[in-house]
Amino acid sequence: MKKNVKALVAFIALLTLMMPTLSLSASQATSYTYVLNEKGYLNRTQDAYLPDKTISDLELMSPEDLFVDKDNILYIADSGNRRIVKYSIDKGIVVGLLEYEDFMNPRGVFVTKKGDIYVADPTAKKVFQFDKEFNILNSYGKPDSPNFSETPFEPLRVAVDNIGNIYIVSEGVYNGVIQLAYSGEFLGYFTVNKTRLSFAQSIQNYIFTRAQLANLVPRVPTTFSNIFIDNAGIVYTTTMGKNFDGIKKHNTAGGNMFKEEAWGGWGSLTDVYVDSQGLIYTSCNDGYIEVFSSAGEFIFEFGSYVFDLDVSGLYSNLPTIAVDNNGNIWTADGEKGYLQSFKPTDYALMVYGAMGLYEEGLYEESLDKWNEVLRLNQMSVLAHNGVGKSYLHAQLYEDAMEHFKVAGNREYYSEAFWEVRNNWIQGKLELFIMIIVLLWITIKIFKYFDKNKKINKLLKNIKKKIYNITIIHDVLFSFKIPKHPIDKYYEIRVFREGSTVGATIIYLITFVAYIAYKTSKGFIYQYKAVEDMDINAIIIGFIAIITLFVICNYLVTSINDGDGNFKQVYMIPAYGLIPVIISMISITISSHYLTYNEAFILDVILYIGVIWTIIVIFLGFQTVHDYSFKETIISFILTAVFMVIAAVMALIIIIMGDQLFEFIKSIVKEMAQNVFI
Amino acid sequence: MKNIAMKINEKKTSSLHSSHAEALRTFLLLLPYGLLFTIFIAIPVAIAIGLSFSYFDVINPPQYKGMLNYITLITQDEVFLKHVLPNTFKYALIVGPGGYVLSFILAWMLAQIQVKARTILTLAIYMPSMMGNVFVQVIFKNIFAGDQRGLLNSLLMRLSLIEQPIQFLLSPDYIMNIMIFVSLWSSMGMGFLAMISGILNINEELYEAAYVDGIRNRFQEIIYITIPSMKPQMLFGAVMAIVNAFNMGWIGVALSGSNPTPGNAGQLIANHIDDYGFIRYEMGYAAAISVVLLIMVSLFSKLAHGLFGEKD
Repeated sequence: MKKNVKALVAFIALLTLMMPTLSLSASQATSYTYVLNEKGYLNRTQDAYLPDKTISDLELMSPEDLFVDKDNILYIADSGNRRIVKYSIDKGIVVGLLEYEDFMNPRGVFVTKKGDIYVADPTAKKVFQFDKEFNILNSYGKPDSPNFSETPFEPLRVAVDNIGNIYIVSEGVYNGVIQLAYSGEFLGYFTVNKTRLSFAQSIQNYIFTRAQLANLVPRVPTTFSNIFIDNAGIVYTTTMGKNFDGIKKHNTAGGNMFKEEAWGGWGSLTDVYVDSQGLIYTSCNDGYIEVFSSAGEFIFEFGSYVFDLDVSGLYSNLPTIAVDNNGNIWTADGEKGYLQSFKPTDYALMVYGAMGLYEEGLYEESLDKWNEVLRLNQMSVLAHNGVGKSYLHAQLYEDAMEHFKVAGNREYYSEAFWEVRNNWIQGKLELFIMIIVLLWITIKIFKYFDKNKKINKLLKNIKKKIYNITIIHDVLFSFKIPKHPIDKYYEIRVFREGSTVGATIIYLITFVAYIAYKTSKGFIYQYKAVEDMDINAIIIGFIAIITLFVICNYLVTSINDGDGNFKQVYMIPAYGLIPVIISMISITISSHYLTYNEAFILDVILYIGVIWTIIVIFLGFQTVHDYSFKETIISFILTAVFMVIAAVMALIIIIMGDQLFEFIKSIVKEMAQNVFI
Repeated sequence: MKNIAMKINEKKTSSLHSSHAEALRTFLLLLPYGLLFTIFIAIPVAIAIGLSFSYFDVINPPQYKGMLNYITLITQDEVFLKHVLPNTFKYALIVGPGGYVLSFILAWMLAQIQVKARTILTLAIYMPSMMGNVFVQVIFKNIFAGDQRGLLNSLLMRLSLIEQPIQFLLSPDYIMNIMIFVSLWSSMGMGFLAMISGILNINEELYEAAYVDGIRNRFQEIIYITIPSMKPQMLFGAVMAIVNAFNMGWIGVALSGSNPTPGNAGQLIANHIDDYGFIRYEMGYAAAISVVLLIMVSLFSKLAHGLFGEKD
């Protein structure tokens, strides 16, 4: 017993000794960092940012906005205390408090290059302008321009461009961002979001009268939540709500410069900040922070929502984000009123560095950086893309292809592949010409010596013998159908040609070709990887559809004066499938050698194959059942309806069968328990 | 025996004599056409083929360069390999057969209606192919204009499908499809007229006979009677469609207003020839491209002959 106690004490002592080392090895990160993987889904990755400082001694009350000026001083819109706090990030102390008598609820703050401070106050319905020493310079109230009319003027956020034009996001304004000149004159609305109607709403728009429409909830565009202007004077906005607008980077006309909509995240975006490199940082109201490249590509996402715990780096409400001159992210929790900073890890810095170098055109240097990133994270899609692009610039196309393949970047892969293929063709050009010339000469010589066509006849005889084997004949007969569907189907109808076995073999070939087409195309055209496909569903779907179609068509046509019997109904689709089989096989093969430049060839082959098959099968049914055009179409529609009914019936029977089985089982159990014992 | 032989000999000489005169007459008859053909077609083509082996900048005399132009074309000319060739094939593949099928369908439909209406409609349908360039400038540049006054942009914006007008004619994503649309619209040319006359010339009794033989619908009528009895017109239409499809390069330039077209997206072989010949003044190289075009067109025409020509 004593021994045991001793052992326990020793064990606990050991544990306590180990504890510090354990906690040291753990990451300081409080949330996972996510990146997009090669298929476009979020994947966990190394930490990009670690929580750094948590500053809770500033006695902030619902801080609403942050801004960092060029001297690395953080301006906090401390709305609950009606003041702007100036906090030096380098020194870690408060260096000034801007309190002004007219402040009622200062919620937005912006500092120009000159050092002028702009404060937006929705309750005071004004934007104030101060100089460095906190002297009031100007205050902008509601513009009295007739254009502005009854629009509410409650400035939430403010931004100022290099000329001095003021951009205001106002509460409850659907018309867009209010743009004021330095003098306070109303210039117009800078940009506006699109009204997005649901399907039901757009139908209402068409059928409702004006009076009815007026009674509905007005359809208004989503409002902006924040605005930012970077050093180059480019305007960025975020939009409220989980919609398609997300972050926008605006040109001077107010249009969106991002080609694809930047990822909107899970919640409603609250703030956007852009650093000197052009990286875009956004905050979500549910605590997620996202980083985008200057072109709007998603880089990182981290953070999370928490409501009853105090964990640094998790938020109950995240209204704002800013980035200081050292690249650290600063955020404020709107409810709990503290500041939280994040430090980028070496991994994140490396990614940003490589991106920056690439944008400057220093491809070789960026290649080295990207390779370092790859050493840290072999599966980084960003890095593989970066390496690939650098290789593309260095004309190392095969290496570029490899990296684009890992990154799942089909467009660039196609570009690199075009070059590789071109080089290959150029290298073999002489060989090709030689082969063609040689073939031509041999054919000429062959024809010259074979004037009596003896060899020709021999070949024809062998062909005929092979063709006369019943099964091969039955299968090969299908090749005659695409060219003369009506005549050849007539031969099937009068039992001169075709057989059930032949049809079954053709179905099998179709199945194999279909599976190959679905799973084995070249990388550029194989949009869905084999491992993500439900092969069972494909197989069962294929078999079920053909079986259902054949049975239903037979049932429908037999009561509608159709002449074909079941065997023929089974054979018609099979014998018409040749065009689609050929097109699927040729697409599967040629997709390995074609780039996106020639994508239309594959489209054309597929369309021709499918349409040809449909026409041939249609004519087949028409011929075999001895129908007119109209009757054939009616029989097809009936077949489709019947197929749906049959599928529903089958489902019901399966479910009922289950129930029945359970019922019988329980009866047997009852009997076993009560009767026999 | 000898007598007979002599008689035959005599006949031969006399026929030889008369055939001599016959030949002269034929020669004279053919002379105007032959002369014109030689001067305006055969000689220029021969000169072009000759020029394609040279470097010629219009100012200095041509220098013989051997196969250099052709080698450059298939090994160095990235624009040609990457854009022009795929574009031309896409365009020809859709506009050629598409326009052909369209003209046949329209011709067949027109053949079913009364004479007066047919004449007017035929003229209306034939018009675009006659004065295509005017139509493109007046109608299509208006419809696809890149500001909000463009008809299509205005419509899309009114339906709130787009926020900003799309630069249809200057965007590499759209120009090709617009070119195809406009070409199809204006593809009812000579081939179409030939087909109408072909359909109208078919003997009505053939149809009646076919109905007696068991044909039951219009589709079978077309397959078994109409198409077989107008094979020559079908062939003519096919050749015209092919030539048309390979030569309609001006459409992309007329629509976008620039050669090369934006992003090389609407660049066809004919534009490429124009680009080298009349913008860069590399006549030798342009001639080489046009020889390649000639070979392509003749190959496809051969294909058409194989499909529609009389096999005898």
